[in-house]
Amino acid sequence: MKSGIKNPQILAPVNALEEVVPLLEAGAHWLYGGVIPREWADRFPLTVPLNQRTFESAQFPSMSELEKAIKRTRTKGGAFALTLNAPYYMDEQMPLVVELGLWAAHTGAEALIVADPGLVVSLRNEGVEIPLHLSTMGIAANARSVNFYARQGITRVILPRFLSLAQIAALIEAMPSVEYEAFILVGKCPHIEGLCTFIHDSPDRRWPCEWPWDLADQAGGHPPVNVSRHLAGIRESDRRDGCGLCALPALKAAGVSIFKIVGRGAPLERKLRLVRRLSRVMEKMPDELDEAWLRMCRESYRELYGHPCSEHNCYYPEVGSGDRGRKD
Amino acid sequence: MPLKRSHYFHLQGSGPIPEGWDGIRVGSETCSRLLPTRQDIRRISEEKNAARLSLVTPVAGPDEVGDVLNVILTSAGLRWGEVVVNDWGILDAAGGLEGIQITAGRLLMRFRRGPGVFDPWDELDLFSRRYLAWGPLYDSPLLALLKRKGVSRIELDPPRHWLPLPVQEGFRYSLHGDTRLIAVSAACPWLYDAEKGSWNPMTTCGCLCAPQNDLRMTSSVFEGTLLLRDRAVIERIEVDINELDLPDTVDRIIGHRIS
Repeated sequence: MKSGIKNPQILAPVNALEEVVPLLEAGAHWLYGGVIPREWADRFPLTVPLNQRTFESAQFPSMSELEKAIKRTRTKGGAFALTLNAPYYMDEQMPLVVELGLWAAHTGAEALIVADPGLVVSLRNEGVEIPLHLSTMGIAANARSVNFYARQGITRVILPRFLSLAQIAALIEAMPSVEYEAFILVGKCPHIEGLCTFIHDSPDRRWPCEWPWDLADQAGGHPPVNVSRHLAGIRESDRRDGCGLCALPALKAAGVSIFKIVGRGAPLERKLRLVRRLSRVMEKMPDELDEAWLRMCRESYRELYGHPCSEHNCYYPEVGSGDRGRKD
Repeated sequence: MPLKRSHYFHLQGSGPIPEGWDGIRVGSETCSRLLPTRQDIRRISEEKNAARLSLVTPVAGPDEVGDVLNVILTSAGLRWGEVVVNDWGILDAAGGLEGIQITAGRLLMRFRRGPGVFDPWDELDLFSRRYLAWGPLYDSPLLALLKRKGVSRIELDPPRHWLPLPVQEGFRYSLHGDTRLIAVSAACPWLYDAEKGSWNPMTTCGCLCAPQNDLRMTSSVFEGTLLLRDRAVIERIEVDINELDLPDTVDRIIGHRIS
């Protein structure tokens, strides 16, 4: 359904039981999180992931705590989505992943976040009755891809980060029969996540996409200035400070029904700050962009992250990009 | 006795084709701007007199998918061997078309190749090594889905540590012989307007993203050299095909470099 007629909901990351109630009370409706069951952890290293976060602090510490979190979310009126979004699973892994999906459905989770088309088929073949959300890892970037995934059982698409607002609007208009979720805060990856194989194994380290890469042409000479500046911009920006606040009205009008905050493994205080801010900004969201709105979004950005926004942190740089040079 | 393999040269831009290649690939895995027109394909087919011609297609945005499908459809009558697909929507649309052979590209398969992935290789058990080397080829439901879509060939991205290929009935393979694909940029670096601080989607880029224009990426925290080519970060590698224990099913080698 095209959901521009109703208010979008906030989806927030969670990785501990005690985070559930504060996040819901702060304004989140959906929570998403993952777990590494002991039988998986005993067998596979973190480079063989069950979900797209390859460091332990992003996961719930145990199945029992995750179960309580799912039930508490439901009791409090929220919805929980379990991440099973590795790009692929081998045959020996698939039964365990399907079993986890079945367990989540019985426990009260509202959805699974998946990326492997093989897993989608396996879940349906095994009769796992739970809505399936396509991770951005699945890369549904056009209506034909969405149509393909929808026929496999996908009910919501998490939009790839590289799509522009115009492309998102065109996609939803062409394929309005599923829900759409868009990234709004944190985690502005410089690469297409489903097509990136840099490993992110520690939240404490700078990740390879942010390393100080030196560029040179094949003769050792200077690269084109724009390409060089592009990479320098990525290095100098903190990808964790991603933001798409000023595009909210356009996303809502396009039919996006879920606004996503990235950051499994981040401290609760940071998660709460992000949810509260997004919730507050959404309350003031106009039907159309105007200067007052853009100014409020820029101020919100500065208060959230402690510095002015930049095109390298911006999810939708076509909105208000001409204002970034201002020193307001 | 060495096996007979076809060698496909990936023609990007209008560069020369080295001696010894008996097939040509046109298009791009990563950039829709490098998609040839039907006229381009006809011209290349005639000028180069290649024995075989492959059309390579990227992940397509909503406004690009029609162009990709049009080139596939209108070129179907021309002489070529395959359409390489890296987008599930393109696969879904083109998979059932008569007279077109579909190959699953390495981006569709999503092999994991980034720096760091293979670091603890010596500490990994065989299962984990298989996951990192050829994981998607052990995903039977995925392979069954590809078969249902008419895929009978898969492109292989070379792993950092070679392991024997799993035997999968009904598939043949093309191996990228001189590049490993690491990542694809969300915003094209070549379209960045440093003055305006924005990416201009309407800029005519001139499609200069041929191998001779690769930019070298080096870092003090990484021993190797990566290359930036159009929107892709790749790693140039040296593989002696004859040293690898390749099964008969790997019957095509893909090359990208000029020299």
